[in-house]
Amino acid sequence: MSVSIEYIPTGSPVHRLHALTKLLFALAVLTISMLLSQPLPLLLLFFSLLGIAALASVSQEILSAVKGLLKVAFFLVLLQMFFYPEGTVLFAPVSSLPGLAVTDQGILFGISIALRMMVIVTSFLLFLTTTPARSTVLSLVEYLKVPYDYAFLFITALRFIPTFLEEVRLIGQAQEARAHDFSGGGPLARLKTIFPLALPLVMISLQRAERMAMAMETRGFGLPGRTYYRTEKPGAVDIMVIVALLSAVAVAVLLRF
Amino acid sequence: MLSITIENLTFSYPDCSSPALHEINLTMEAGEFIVITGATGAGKSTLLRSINGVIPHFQPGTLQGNVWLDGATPSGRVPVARVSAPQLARFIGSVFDDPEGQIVSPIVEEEIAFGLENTGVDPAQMDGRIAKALADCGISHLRHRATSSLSGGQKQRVAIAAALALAPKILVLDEPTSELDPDGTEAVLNVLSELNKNHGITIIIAEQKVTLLAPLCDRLVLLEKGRIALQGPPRQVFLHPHIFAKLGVELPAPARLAHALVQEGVLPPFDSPDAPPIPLTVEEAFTLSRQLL
Amino acid sequence: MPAKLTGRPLIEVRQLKHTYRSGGEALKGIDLTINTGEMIAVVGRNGAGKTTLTKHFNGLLRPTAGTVLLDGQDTAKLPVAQLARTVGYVFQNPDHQIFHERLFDEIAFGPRNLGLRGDELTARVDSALKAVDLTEYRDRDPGDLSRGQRKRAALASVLAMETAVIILDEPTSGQDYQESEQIMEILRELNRRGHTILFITHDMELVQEHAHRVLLIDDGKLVIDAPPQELFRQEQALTSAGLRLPPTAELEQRLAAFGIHSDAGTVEALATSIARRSSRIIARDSFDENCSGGVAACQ
Repeated sequence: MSVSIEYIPTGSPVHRLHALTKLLFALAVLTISMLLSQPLPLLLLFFSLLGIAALASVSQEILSAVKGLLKVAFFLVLLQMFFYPEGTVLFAPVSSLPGLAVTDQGILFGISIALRMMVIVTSFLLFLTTTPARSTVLSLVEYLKVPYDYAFLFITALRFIPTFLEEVRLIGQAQEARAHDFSGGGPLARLKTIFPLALPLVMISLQRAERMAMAMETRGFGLPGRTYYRTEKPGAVDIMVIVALLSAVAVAVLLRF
Repeated sequence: MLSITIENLTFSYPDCSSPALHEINLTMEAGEFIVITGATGAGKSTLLRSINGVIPHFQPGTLQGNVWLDGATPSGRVPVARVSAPQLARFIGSVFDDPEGQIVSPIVEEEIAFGLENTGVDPAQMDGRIAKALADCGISHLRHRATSSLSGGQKQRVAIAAALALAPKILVLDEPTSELDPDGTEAVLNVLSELNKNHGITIIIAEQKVTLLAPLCDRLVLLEKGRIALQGPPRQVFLHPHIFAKLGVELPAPARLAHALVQEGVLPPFDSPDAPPIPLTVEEAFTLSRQLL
Repeated sequence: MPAKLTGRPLIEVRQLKHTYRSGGEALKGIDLTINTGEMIAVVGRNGAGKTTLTKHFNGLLRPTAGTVLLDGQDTAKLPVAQLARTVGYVFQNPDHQIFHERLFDEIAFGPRNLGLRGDELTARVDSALKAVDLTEYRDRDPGDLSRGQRKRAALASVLAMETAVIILDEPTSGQDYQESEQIMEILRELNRRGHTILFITHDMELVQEHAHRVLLIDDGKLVIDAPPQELFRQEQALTSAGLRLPPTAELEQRLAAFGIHSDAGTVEALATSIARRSSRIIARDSFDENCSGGVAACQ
């Protein structure tokens, strides 16, 4: 199962929302799904998430993730079906074990649990695929007062993860092609077989860091009076969405209690 | 109008016995397209780095002589060594050979914004400047793409756009196509040619691919062990095949054909008054050959 | 000398397909036979599948479908370390492999992995160093070498394994003209001594000068498998695969309509052919109308 948790830039209206709005959205959906217990409202909630995914032009990625989630959901339904004691017994596979009987309520409960899991995971996937890590980090700088230098380091590190993984793959292959065996014997031997991978990786990373520092300076890094592109101020739409989210949570609470 | 005057420039890297650049004198006028070439170790990168301020601000070593930036301030000329490297970014944009090693952001538009943020540009202006830099490099469609998903040629055009966003008058590029395939190389060189012709941006580029650059450039500078061996418009420089041979730089095929035709006695020698101009492109070489038949 | 092999085709590729885990279909069914002693260029745009194809020859990648037989044996069933005795692979970036503090040890890494020790190991390393002209740096730190020298060092570290096949991914990228010529000369010498050579490149002039056979890969398919001269006659296929004719070949083809032929593939041979058909030496006046822009640029 491959689930994309990477930011997918499509420039949709959802993408243009503030990072904190979308984080709040995921948290609100989580809360509402906990308050709902019937399969039907949960199913409606789930479909509205798919609608938002379509609006955000990330349907393809979300649906492929949902396909993977369905297997987990099926397992959850099975599990609940057999271990939920209340309700009218529909059939009992092992007559000597009444606890294993399948009841109508058990099935409904299992479906609810599975739907809830899918709703929560999907809402967070929506947040991650529509929000650049940079925006989240910068929001944290602004609202939680994390220093910019650390935030910048973090963003650059994110940018280099794919590059780094590619280097690991290439260096590993280059040494394997020279008949190096990475699978070595005991723990000590295993440690030694890592050197041909680790040393070039360190050398290349150092080289790259130096070149990067040079490239950054020639683009003005380090000048005083830095400004920020998209300072991520919540806009009118954000306020509206936040109000809507809070009212939805309030309605869910009122309906429940 | 921003021009560069290099005066008696000598530079040695630490722990090196012989200087990487030796008594270089060179003037680069506003709007010129200049190609610096030569064998590995001839001093191409060192020369570029002393123009874009990496030397002496970033790279330690012994520097003598001056690189003057004319027209950067109302009062006249300033030596590059006295302007800080980040300050220089507003006048001189830099692009390096390794596409991976110069991109800092996960998303293309953030990459273009990086220099604007550093130089304190008003955020209200950024969208327009990002759009323009991308459009000038023919990559508007890449604006929202992840930088890790781009091809080498696209990455290098993003690097050019990122430098360009700061509105420099001069672009300094160190072998920007060395890691690219023919399509990527062509795309990058086309962008440079456009920027030079339509926006008057001075291009100073170190490259091995002389055949592709000769028809685009105003001047070719051949370096040999830290000295200028030969410089001038390509058609003049190509009159000296023996110097190319001595330096280990390949003379482009169209020019080689012309010299071979002189050898065969069907063309007059190029130093005679009735010699035709040396062809730079396959088209020109073809026209020349056809007229002999 | 490379190890003795049976008389079977050296590499046989049958309906090879490769799909990456990310879902991209990199190879879409390739059929190919490579015989001992060939010198083959693999060309195509970046991302066409050149590297994916060649990494199947030493088991770094395994077929999603189809088979790759090396000397009659299915590579999918053999570990890379064993295939490495027959197929050497030089990566594009030498810094992806160099990690020793002494050049000798870097070159000795592969042969040691193959179990070589003592005098034979030393002899192999020294002969590999000599082949790439780095003998004087034998005991130096590879980190002190220039990029061109490191590239040759990486080649030497594979040479010392004395494999029958040597594959090189862009052996001349980032090299100047002389360094490129030097590397290609080493490859030709290895080929003369019986090694089968495959090199990936974008440089069509190198292909024209040095390859006996060219594999043009585009979008995961083997589009053309032919000698260079034949490939260059199919300009359409070449350009749609993101490549360009080398200038000499382009001149040759355009002049062919005027009865000029040169099979040597050099501008000198072209000039000789032109001279043979030319009856006159023309004066400057006749060029002015066609090359006036050029004349101005010269003044």
